[in-house]
Amino acid sequence: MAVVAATISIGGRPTWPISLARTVLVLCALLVLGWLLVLPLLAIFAEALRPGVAFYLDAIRQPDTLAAVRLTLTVAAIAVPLNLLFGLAAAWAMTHFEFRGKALLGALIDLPFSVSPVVAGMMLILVYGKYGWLGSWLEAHGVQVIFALPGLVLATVFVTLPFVARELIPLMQAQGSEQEEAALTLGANGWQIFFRVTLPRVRWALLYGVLLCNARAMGEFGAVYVVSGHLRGLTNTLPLQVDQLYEENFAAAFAVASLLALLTLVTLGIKRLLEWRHGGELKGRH
Amino acid sequence: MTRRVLPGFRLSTGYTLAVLGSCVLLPLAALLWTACELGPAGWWAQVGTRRVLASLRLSFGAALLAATIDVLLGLLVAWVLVRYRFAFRRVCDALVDLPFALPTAVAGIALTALYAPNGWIGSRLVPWGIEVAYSRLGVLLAMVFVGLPFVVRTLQPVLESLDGDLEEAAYTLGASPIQRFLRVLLPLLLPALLTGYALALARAIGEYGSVIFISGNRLFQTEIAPYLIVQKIDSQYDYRGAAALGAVMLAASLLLLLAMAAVQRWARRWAVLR
Amino acid sequence: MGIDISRLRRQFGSFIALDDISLRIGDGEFVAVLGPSGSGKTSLLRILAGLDQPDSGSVQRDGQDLLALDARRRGVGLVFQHYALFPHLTVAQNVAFGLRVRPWRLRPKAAVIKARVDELLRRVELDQLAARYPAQLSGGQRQRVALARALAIEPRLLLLDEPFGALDAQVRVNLRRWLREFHRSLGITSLFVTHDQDEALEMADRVIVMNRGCIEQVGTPEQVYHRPATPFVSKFIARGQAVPGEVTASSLRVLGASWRLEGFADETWHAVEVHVRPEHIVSSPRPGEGLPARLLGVRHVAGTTLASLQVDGMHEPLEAAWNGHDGGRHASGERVTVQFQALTVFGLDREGRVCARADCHTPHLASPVVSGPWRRLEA
Repeated sequence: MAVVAATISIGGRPTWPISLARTVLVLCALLVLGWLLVLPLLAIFAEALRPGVAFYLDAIRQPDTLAAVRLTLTVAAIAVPLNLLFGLAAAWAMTHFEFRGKALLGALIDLPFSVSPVVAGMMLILVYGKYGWLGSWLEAHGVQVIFALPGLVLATVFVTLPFVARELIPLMQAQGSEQEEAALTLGANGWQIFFRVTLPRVRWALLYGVLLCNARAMGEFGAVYVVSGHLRGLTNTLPLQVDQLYEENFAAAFAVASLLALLTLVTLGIKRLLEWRHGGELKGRH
Repeated sequence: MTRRVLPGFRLSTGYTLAVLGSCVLLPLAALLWTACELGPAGWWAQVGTRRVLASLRLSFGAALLAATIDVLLGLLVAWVLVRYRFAFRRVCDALVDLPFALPTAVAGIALTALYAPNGWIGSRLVPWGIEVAYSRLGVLLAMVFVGLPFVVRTLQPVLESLDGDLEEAAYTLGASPIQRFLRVLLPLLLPALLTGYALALARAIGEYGSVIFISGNRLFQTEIAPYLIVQKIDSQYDYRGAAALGAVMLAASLLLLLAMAAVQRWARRWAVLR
Repeated sequence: MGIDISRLRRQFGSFIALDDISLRIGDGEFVAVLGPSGSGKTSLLRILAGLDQPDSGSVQRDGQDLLALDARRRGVGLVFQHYALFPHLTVAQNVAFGLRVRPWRLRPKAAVIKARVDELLRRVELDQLAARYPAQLSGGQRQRVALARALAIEPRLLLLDEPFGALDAQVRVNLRRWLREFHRSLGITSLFVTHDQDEALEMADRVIVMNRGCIEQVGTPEQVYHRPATPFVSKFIARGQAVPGEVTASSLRVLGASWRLEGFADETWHAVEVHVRPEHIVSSPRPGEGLPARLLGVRHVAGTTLASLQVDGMHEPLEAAWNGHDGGRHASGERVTVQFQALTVFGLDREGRVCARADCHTPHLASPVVSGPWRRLEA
């Protein structure tokens, strides 16, 4: 207790009942975070490494797992740029223009955050599935969406849709249109305004949004689960691979899961770094 | 005559609407259409079964409770992170985002491994007769886990914006620490607390990956609604049943969105919550 | 030559920002648009810059339709109120921006751009700071960078939005003088928007006073100050204060005193508004002659005494400005006798528009006599 009390220091000179209350509160918070967040994280690595390093390396070098890694990277490589452009376009439209239905558009951009990923996947099946609205048309043209890469991309785009836009819109709203207007009066055209004035001012927020978007894209489970059909080696992304291995080979599932956990830790690390180095330019976050 | 002086209106709205249309609007319309096609009777035939009702009760009940717990824990964590300086504060702050960034399936198996009867924590709870994994308690735990960052991250900026001035003002007016918290801070934090609550609730209701491993999916006992949707699609190819249930979930999401919008509007008079 | 603005209207919802504005700006003129916030002056500026379009009306420059040109081809330099400098570019890069974004065929060579930028920065006395970023500059320096940036594209019209609004009082006074000289040396047609009367009167060749989307008066600083055309201009520019007055056949009666006012009693006006300025309320040299009043408060500001007076028989207190020596003798609560040295009378028609006005002067304080000059305005 004394050690913790010594590490807590804030501005003034707390009298003893207040410093005691602080110590207790900090301890409680540490307990909550440790119990709720740190333990599961430790459990992943502990379970993954329990059978030994050789087994671990072997598990993540299985062909199916490598195929899942490739698929996950492919999906992210398509979905993240799509969302990057979406975020930029939506933010440009929402912050530089007045038009009818703008509030509705804003609500729609946020919608995927509150819709269950499973429902999202199901909705995509209702449109693009074999018996869906566009199913027969797609089949006639030889395009398979559901149980194939396009479906995975669509599901991923759906769940990650708000990430970039939500970082950019508040920031660009706070910055206003004045600089863009200044560039316009100086003779710049649309692309010049975008690349020379807007983009340099939102680059860190953009990177921040892309980072979060990418983490979610690579880790999405529910929406992707519904549309993938989980064909091993074909439509299994890493999280789906974890799910399938979990039934058969507990330790291998954790080995694969540890890869995703590492990705998470790296993401959180970069996120922290961005907040620390470029906090001012990210203002308007959350 | 156009009033839009800056260029790019058509390009930006065009692309935005194209993506929204193909990924959100069209699927949304398809769900509503399928659900409407069923009609009230057909819808009830799908949703009114004992199994579905049990799953809905569990999903919503556990989510409500989990969001409440998240608000309490989140307030504690946000308060400590903003107000106090202590060792590992930055690490703790970064960790808060973990449930947000950790793939849900990974979180799900991790929680299960911890709380299973042979797990680190589960084995210690067995002698007490407490069963977390494969029980409703497990569902609750997973939902608390995924919802926590929403409350903390909503509260943090508001707490930061309320610098010491207000409390010092209350202090000079003779308020005790508890009065300062209850009468000054809590009312100002209320909109953020409500928003955080709604966000955590929305996430918990729809959560799939973190929950299905630890819940064990026992018939009538620990099946959550998203699990049933997946079951209907995956093994029964029952798209209408899935759509009927999905419509209920979607309605809940939309209601929560509306509630959040109302809270934001209401909070604007204080301008504490952006 | 010059800019011809004709019947400009701009409405935002139910708010009328510009209500049928017509105006001519001569070549090389330095014009101030003066008005309180919400008077429409910024709307006018934005329309001239091409950042907004009017609902109706036209703007022509030497016979060319300016509204048909979009902002980037208009050749109008705009200095934003908060400068809108690009924070990620250095001072030199900011100034060069307008040249560097020109279409490839029209873009000057790098060396030419550099020479132009150097020249401009020398003129705004910032050549030492070319490599700095805007965040590293003071407010006055930023303003000059914004000016140089707007001038780099060799605009034929320079617009300045509240050029001194974001500056400290001291910097403001120095920059005013500098900008006035700078404009003289450039000779470029310029229009600046301000809500500060002193700024407009001190700097501009001509002042346009705006209120609620309408032009109240256009004139030289001298005219606007000494012969306000409307009660609004009188209040806004000369701090005119309303006093109760009534006009009969050949006289104006104000608080019991009678002033001669011939030819004003006419059927054209419906009501009159009588204004007195602070400097025209003087304390009477002989007690008992004039209006009895009570001093509510006395403040001494830079050689002038500002006295708040409650004149007997009036509801609202009046503000008087006396020179320091004169005012020094008085204290609050004291009873004094004051006289009005001059009054301005506005005759208003049924819609509240000015249709007649007159200035009344009284050279002899003891016996208020009114002498012309007065004139009728077209309704």
